[in-house]
Amino acid sequence: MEKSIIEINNLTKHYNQVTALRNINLKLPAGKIIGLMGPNGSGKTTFLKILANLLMTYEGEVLINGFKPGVETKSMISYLPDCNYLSEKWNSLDAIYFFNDFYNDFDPERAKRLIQRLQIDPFQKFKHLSKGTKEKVQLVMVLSRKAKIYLFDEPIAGVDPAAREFIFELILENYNKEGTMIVSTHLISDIEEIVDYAIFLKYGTVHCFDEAETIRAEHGKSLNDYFKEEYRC
Amino acid sequence: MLKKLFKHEFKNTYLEITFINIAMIVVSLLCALLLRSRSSVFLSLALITLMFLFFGSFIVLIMNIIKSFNGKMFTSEGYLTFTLPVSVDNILITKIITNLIWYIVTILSIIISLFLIFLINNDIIGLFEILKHIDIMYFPPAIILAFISIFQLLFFLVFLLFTLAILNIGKVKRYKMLVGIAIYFGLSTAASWIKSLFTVVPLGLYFEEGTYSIHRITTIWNLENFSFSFPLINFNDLLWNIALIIGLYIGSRLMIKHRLELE
Repeated sequence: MEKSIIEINNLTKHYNQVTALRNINLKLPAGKIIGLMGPNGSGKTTFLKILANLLMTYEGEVLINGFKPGVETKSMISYLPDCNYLSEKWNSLDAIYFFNDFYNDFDPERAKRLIQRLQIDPFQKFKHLSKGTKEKVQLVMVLSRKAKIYLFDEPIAGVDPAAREFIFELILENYNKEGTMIVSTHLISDIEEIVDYAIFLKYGTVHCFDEAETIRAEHGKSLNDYFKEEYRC
Repeated sequence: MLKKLFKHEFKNTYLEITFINIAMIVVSLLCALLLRSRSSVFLSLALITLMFLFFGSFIVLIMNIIKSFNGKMFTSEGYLTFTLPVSVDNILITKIITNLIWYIVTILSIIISLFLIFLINNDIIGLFEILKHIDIMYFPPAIILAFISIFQLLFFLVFLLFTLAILNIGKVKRYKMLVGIAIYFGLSTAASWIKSLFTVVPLGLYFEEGTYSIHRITTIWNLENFSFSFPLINFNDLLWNIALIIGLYIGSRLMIKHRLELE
């Protein structure tokens, strides 16, 4: 396997009585697109939150480019959560100004270009924008960074099928190609073609982790069919 | 990064506070002019407005603190706040200091408002006459009292932060405001009770007739001229407040680091 950018050893995370992640061991390669797959409640969001340093207590070891999650790793991670995190009082230009101040790898010109391309009024306050448009602005902010690692938590969950294709086009066009991208989703068919590696989570454990091509060859089926078979109720 | 945090914290909180502070000064000018013209109907209206603005400024300050702490840290906006490449301490300290500064600015605005009313209705020479009669020896005690007041404000802010952190980890969704008020008053009653149980240093710094002295805290009433002597600094309260500020800050920080529950 190529040089790993994320190394996880015996990672376990409990929420009171519930174990969200159980003894995870992974070495994630640099410069690849990794699909984080699993049904609802399998631990995908918890896994990404630990990498993004939003959850700071857990058992085991997490190393991102050699650092424990903290200030150093936050500067190299571009994270898109599954909710709206931009202030309703802001407009797109406020968001660009904010990101430009805090992230050295942020490209404000690219952000402005993308906002224009998506035909979003840069002066319109977010409280007046639709949920879908706000999501697009967030995506623009995340993609306008030349980050080492991109974490996307269900970027297409609430989007109609026509827009999904467009969002993935946008992501693939604009992310830093030398960076690593982890995309969490339960809509496997939409990301089947773009992922280099796949992690399948089940009840907080790694059910399967390998190159997408290897999984397809070994099981003789697409990732989507593999998912359907393995997670059948 | 701390500088940038301060810049954005001020940018996010300045609007309502600046508006109410400017309104206070404008209405106080109006009051002063009406006082000169002896227009009683408009004067009482302006004075009532000014009183409302004084009161309103503290409501705006409290709302701003809640917005700054709760809105930016414990709602979905926390996803952005806590993924910035800065430490949790930097975030908390920035918010506490910014809100403290807004408090001081508002108190100064109230003082300026009252001063303007006085100034316009007295000639400037008369004002200097009054100032000349104030003995310079009263300035250091005034400065000490100002610092103690700032310290009390700091205590209040950290207490509020702690209350909001408890609300967050308790995942309180319904009647959040009422539960928050109950937690705040419950905790402050408990803190006062503990403080009264353990008197660590029963000493105070007193300023009497131009001299400073440190002695046991006693309230001395003088019935002849209706005056009483109270300590400039109550060392017992001061120590307890320092301990509580440190304890509550560490408590809030631990709750955020270990039990953060974003919406």
